Amino acid sequence: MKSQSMNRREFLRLAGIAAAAAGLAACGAAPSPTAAPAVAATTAPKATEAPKATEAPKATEAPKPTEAPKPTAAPVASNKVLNLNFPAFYGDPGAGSDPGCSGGANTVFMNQLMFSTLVYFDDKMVPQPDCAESWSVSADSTVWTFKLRKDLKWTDGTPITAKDFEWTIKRNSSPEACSGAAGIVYMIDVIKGVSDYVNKKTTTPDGIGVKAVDDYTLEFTLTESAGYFIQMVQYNTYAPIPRKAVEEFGKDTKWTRPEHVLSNGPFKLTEWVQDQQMTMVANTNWYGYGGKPAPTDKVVIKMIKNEATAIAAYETGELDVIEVPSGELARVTTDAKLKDQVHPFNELLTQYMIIPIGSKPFDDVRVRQALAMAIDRDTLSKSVLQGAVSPAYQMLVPTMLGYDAQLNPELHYNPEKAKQLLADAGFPGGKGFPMFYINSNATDQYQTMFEAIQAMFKDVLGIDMQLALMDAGARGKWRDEKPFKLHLWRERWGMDFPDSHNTMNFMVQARQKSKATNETHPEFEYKNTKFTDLVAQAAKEVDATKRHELYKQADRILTYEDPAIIPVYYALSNLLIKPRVSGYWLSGMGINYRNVTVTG
Amino acid sequence: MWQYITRRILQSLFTLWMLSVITFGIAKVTPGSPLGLDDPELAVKMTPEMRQSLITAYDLDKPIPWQYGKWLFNALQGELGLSLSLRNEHVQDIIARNWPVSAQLGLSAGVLSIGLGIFIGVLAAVKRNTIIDYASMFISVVGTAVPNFVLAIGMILLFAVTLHWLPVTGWGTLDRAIMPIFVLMLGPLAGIARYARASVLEVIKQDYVRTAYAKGLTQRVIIVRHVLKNALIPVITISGPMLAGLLTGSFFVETMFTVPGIGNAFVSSINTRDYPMIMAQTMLFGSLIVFLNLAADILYGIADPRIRFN
Amino acid sequence: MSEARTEKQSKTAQDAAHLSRPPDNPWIKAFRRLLRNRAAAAGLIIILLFLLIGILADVISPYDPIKVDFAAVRQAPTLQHLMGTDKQGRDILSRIIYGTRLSMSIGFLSQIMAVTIGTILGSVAGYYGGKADTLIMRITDVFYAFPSLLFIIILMAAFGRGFVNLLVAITFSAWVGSARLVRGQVLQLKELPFVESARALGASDAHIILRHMLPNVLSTLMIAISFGIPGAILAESGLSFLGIGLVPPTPSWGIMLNDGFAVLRAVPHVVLFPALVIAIIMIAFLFLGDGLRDALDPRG
Repeated sequence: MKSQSMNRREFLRLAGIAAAAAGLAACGAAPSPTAAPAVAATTAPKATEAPKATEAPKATEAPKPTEAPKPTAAPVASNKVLNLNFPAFYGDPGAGSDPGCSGGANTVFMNQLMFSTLVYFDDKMVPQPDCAESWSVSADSTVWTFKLRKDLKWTDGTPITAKDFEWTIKRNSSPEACSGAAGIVYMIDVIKGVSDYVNKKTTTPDGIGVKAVDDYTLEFTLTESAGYFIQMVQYNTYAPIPRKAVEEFGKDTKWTRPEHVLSNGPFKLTEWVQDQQMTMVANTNWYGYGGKPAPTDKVVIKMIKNEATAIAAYETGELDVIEVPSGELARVTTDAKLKDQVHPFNELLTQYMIIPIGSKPFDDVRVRQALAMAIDRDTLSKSVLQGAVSPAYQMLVPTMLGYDAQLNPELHYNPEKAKQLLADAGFPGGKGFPMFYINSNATDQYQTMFEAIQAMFKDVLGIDMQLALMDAGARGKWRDEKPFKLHLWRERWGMDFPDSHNTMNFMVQARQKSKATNETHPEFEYKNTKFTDLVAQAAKEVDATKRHELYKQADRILTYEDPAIIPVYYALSNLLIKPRVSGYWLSGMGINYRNVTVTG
Repeated sequence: MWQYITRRILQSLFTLWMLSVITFGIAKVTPGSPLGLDDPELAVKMTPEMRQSLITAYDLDKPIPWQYGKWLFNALQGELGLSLSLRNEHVQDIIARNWPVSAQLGLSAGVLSIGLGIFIGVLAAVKRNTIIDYASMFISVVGTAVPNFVLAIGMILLFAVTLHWLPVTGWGTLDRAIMPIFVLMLGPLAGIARYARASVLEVIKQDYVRTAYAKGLTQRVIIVRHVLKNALIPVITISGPMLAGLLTGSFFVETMFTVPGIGNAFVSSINTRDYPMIMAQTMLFGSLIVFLNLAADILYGIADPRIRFN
Repeated sequence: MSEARTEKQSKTAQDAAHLSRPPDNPWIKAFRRLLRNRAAAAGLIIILLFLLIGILADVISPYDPIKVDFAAVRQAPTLQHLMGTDKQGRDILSRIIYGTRLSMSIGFLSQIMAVTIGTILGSVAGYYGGKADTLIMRITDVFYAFPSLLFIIILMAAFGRGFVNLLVAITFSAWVGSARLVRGQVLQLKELPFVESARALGASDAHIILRHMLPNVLSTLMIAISFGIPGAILAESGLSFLGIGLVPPTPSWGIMLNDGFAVLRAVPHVVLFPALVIAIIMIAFLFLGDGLRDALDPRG
């Protein structure tokens, strides 16, 4: 899920899963994959340049999490400190910050600062060489070969080779490793053998399709052709993990704590004061600096949850970058001083409602279409949510394959047609239509949105939707209550990697019987095999034009022809960034700090 | 008297035990579950084994009385369990880390509000119907009527954003403590000032005070020697529960000023159905209330010899 | 509270007991005393005014409080909308008027319910003593030990949001005070001559409690209620502000505070008016409570 717009409660859910799994790995005395090859670093190249002592800012000794929080970090001599805010860091140092366990917004956020993966995305979301210098793919798109850089090093200066990557993939695929939860979803069913190993059909990771051909050549064998694999390998679960640290401190996931962690990205973690702040300093061993002084010495990540406080802290200069809360957008964009510091960008995030298609009257396609047409998304976006979002008429987001502004012209606000459809379905003027709920988290933005939609449904269709806003922790139980309370379910999907497969595959999995609980909500089950087939076909298709068409067809089924969901909006993110910060870039994947420069 | 104190302590322990039973019961029947087990959208990312082992690891499949027994047994030995949301951390460690911050904040606010409140209240009573009285009562009314968050945001805008005198975030230095202490202090201060004022006014009317005036003692001597001692007894009794409330941390003040205290953790723990945290905090706060009240009662008895402990 | 403290309260009770004897109605005297206190009189008038606003909400409200108008969101006060509009273009004045009805209902109903429960339990405990007393007092202790706001939060999490649930949760956390108060007074009154003579004349327990004791407790309870109501109103606003009280789009002051807080700096009027109204009602109850305390205390 995306980090930027994740609200706190929702985040807690996600972090909960990743961290829960991590905690378990600790409980279950997880054996590391037995047959994983040793990291023999004998052939490692000589470090071209010894790190200069002067460059490395001394890492302050990280306090143990049990200690009382100390006053905020001691003043540093350097002014090249970037002050960020990530409100949702609610998790202990360790669990949840393991890139192999990725999935929580906090993990994604901090791992992008700490780790380098095979590729990174530029501002157009095009994969660029990161740890991999180059790559090639077999004609059928099932075997991917990456040539690694020869100057990759951990933060302690020891070299990184293809074997580290191979070990990482196997370790992350282990059913006992934390990745059993969230991150595994981007390896399972994709890389050969991962599924069998996770599901304990095989006991060793030998059958997994990843191999260090030599120290600098990494080869993946996939289950089927997957053109999107190059986008997928940017995900955190593909970041190399330091075997040394994991084996020594893996128990209780202590290896990710500041005192033990080794990483390979632009910054290294040196301090994490629980629920207060985390400090990272420039990793002088990162190849990207090329031995030159880092343009930013230090990143301080504060964890301010209150939006009003965060924006005040930005105005006093205590923070360099913040996300503008939607309520403040109107003020900020007209403020003489602040308006030039606002940087909007499209997130790859769709907000939608899931329809209980298994229940009357929502089994009727006309009812579902009527609901979708009764929402005036332009008004919702511009007036109610103050331009913090843009209207969505399909699931896939702009710039992705399968997005077409003209895909579902019928879904645009059309009160007459909506009334007509509802009347045709047997509810003229909403008469006889049962009351139903919208189940959503209780946040300001959702409340605002659903109060508006509630009014639109009432005005246009004459039907009653009640708000069931609650804690994330209570939503699932509420949904499970018998007898079934007729309700729409609010959900959002932020893409983890920029390919439509990410979204559509999720729609297939989530709309089917739940794998985890082995129980199903028949009310929400989507049995459209045409949709499923199209998505499967598109995944295998290598030709972009053909994939585009396939995803368009699939999306039209999902949102118009036989709708399972009602798309509502695409999230926009508005960041306030101080002029002293440069070198970052914004894309659908969020803000990228790898070359960030701060001036005093 | 010792007999009385012993009996009260035993009663208090019984009360706390009942408190734990009720809280455990309510927490367990509350809909929702920790660990993200029930979210169908997220469940997609969890394997059945993973889900089952989470349930087993946290005893969520055992009967509630069994779970309670285990909790009590461990709690009595100081083991409050692993937090469900801050995984891999023992609840007692979280409390040991975060509660002192809340206590520090609460104690500062408490001491200041009692001290200043009494001062303002007594001054207002002595200078009754003068500008001083009206001014102090105005403070008291404002303190009662202005919501915390208006005060907090107002102070941030004025002292941090506009004047740049104080930082907005962080904790641990005096300049960072000023705003949270002030916001936390004002309400209780208002209450104590009003209470002290009323109490002093009542005592001043008493015969022995009139006698003292008749004897020609100066007002200063009368107030300090005769009035304050008697007038402040009722103030003690409301200070106990008030202090208990302050020491438990304030969700709002802590999130607003990014104070790493425990008040924040309570609301989070309810949202995430973090049973061990809910239990630990309720018990901690319950103990504070019970024992601070007990202390107030005993102090009350010592201060007012008319009271017999029976 | 404790045995120690109830002794102090009993003094007032004794005085109140004597008061109820003379033929000149003490309530009327007290009421006159109350009205002579200008602050208390003002408080009373404001509260009555708010009660009236709550009762007549349908009549005086210029707009439907939940009627949205997307063409007029977040408008500053104008002649059409005296307090402006909120994020859905709803009229803030109308929402405050309906919110008055809600807040007053929650304030009065929860306190009346709490006081009823507290009085029944307190008088039974105080009058009969023994095992009933021990049992009730131990239960009271437990509820007293609950951090009250947190108790309400836990209950709301368990029950779910909504008016009735909120009312029950606030009541649950509020009855303890009056139970202790009533018990303390009944304990004292029990020993007084007029109660003993009533008993000697063969009056039933219920008769004694209802006719002889409760009237004497009433003044103390009234003071308790006058301080309890604003507490309940604040609890509602606080919980709805945190998003665990009433369900939007209900026009509640707490929900309005929550709505307004997000846009506090962009459009301050959205939060200003509900905050102001809450402040006014708090002050009114404060003055009334103080005034009642003085008026009902015969030494005043």
